[in-house]
Amino acid sequence: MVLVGGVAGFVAGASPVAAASSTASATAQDGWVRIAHLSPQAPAMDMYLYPFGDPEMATVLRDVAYGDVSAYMALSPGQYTVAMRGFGAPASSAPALTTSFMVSAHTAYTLAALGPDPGLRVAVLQDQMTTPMGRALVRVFQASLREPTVTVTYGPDVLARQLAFGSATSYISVLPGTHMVRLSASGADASMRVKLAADTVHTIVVLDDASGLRIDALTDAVGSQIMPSGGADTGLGGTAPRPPASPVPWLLLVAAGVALTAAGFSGLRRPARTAV
Amino acid sequence: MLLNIDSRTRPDRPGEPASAVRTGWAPGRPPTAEPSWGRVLATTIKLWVLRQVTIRRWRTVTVVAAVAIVTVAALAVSGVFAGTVGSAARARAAGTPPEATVVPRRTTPQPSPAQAAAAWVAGQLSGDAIIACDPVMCAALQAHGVAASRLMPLTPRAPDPPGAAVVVVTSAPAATQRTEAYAPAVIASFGSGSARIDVRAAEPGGAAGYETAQRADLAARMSAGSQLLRNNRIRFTRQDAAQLRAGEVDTRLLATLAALSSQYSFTVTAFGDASPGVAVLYRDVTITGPAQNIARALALVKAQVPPYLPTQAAMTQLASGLAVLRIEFAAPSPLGLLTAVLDVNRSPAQLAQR
Repeated sequence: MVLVGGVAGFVAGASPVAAASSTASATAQDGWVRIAHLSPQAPAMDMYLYPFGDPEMATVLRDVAYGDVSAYMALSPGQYTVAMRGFGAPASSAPALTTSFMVSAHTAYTLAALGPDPGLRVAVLQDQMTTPMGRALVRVFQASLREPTVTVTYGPDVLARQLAFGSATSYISVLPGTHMVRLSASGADASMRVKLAADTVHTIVVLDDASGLRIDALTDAVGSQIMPSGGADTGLGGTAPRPPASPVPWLLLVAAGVALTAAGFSGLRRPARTAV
Repeated sequence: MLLNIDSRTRPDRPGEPASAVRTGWAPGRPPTAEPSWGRVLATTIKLWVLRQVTIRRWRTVTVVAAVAIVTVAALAVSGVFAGTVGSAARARAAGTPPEATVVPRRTTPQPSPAQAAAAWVAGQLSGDAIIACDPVMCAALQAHGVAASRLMPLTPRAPDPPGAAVVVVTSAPAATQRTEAYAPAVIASFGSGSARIDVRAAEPGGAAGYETAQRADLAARMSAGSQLLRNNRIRFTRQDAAQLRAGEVDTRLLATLAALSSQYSFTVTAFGDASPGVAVLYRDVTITGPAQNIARALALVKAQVPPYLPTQAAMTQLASGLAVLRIEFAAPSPLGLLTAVLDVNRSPAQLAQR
């Protein structure tokens, strides 16, 4: 199964204002965060992101279940505490704090919930949004509890050797194409055909399945220079927010108006010349 | 009547010399000529003015002094002078009396540095931290209730035991050299000279890795602390604000305060620590607020799991309807919690490929 962009998850704010901030009011300075539930033992949950500076702007992602990967959400740059509650638990109940991380402008992150339950933890991965021209980027994230280490190949390329649980590789540049992703571990193997198009960025996730290992291929970005927006929107930016226009032309216009007005008053006061 | 100048009301006092300022007459002598009304009037006005000036001067002095006292008291209460007390304030915040008030008791023997270190380790470290120690210290730690399974004796053959979170060693040069490489951070120190005992935190990256991690963590703490100061649900004293800006507060406290503020408004009254001998990060905080909110905040912090589970959290109810909550995290303060982005360069896969 290939998960492209966002699959599930309902993005909502703790307040209407926060909801708007997550999806609609993205600014050019925002960072981007998505959340992935990669723990087969853990039930569905609600995930909260609490900004240090503005507690009323908490971002909430509700009903995140195993295998879900949300769309990227726009967040204001700053420090956040990540907390989890059981699905449907009231916001006034005690959450479980899991991690804290800094959102930087123009930077994308994946928060991956992984590990046993109890003992669930959240790993923060920094995602890359651009690729070398005509290439594809791919990395591997190992979230299998069943196999402590795995080796991953993509066609002729070895993406990871003996990758430990909770670890990720850096992005590796590969030629675009369709190849088999193969996982090999001491107790299980798995394979899946995956297409990596030019100028796309992907994360191969190693997961547990009822019968052994499972592969998920997430798309981090499609097309260089374009940041994902809201529901995995990777458009051309025609509706993207623009920086505020410069006030200088308006100030010049006002100044000119004032000057003309002053000149007019001055002309009225001056006595009319008489012809000699 | 402002001034008694009627000599007839004065009793006669035989033998008393006439004062230069007295305006009456000496007994037995004929009365001298009375001064003119104009002179009397001038003298009256002069003396009245002098008295008024004196009275007003004292009133002015009194008022100025009172205003000064009230102003100084108000400034002291508001914490304006907090930044000028330095170590004394920090010692109070840490729950220990300032040096000037420490009076050694003759009846109670002072614990040895080893005993003091053992007591501190038993009370301040998290319950699952593995402790490397020399045989003497290991025995002292066991005597203070530390389970033997948590102790890893240091031997000449194994001077850098893997897996230990903390190392307790003497300050002997040989021991210090051995441990500085893998446990570069001193988190508490007891005694002095050759009897000194240092408690050191192990760092997987060694001394170089520690320096790098320490710099990054300091920058993250300063940034996060400054962001907390903009949080409109938390009030800080001037001293606490300075400590936040300087990056002196443990990252677990910062994350916990941010989470608490998502649900409650409260006041931070003090940061503190209990690490003798060295200046380390503040690991405890005291907050106040409405009792109902503080009770819920207590439940929230007690519901956490490591690394966000404090070693101590206790609430005190005040008569005013407010309550006080003190939260303390275990030593040592972890580095990197605020910058939790996965470091792919330290993943086993990358290391294997090199």
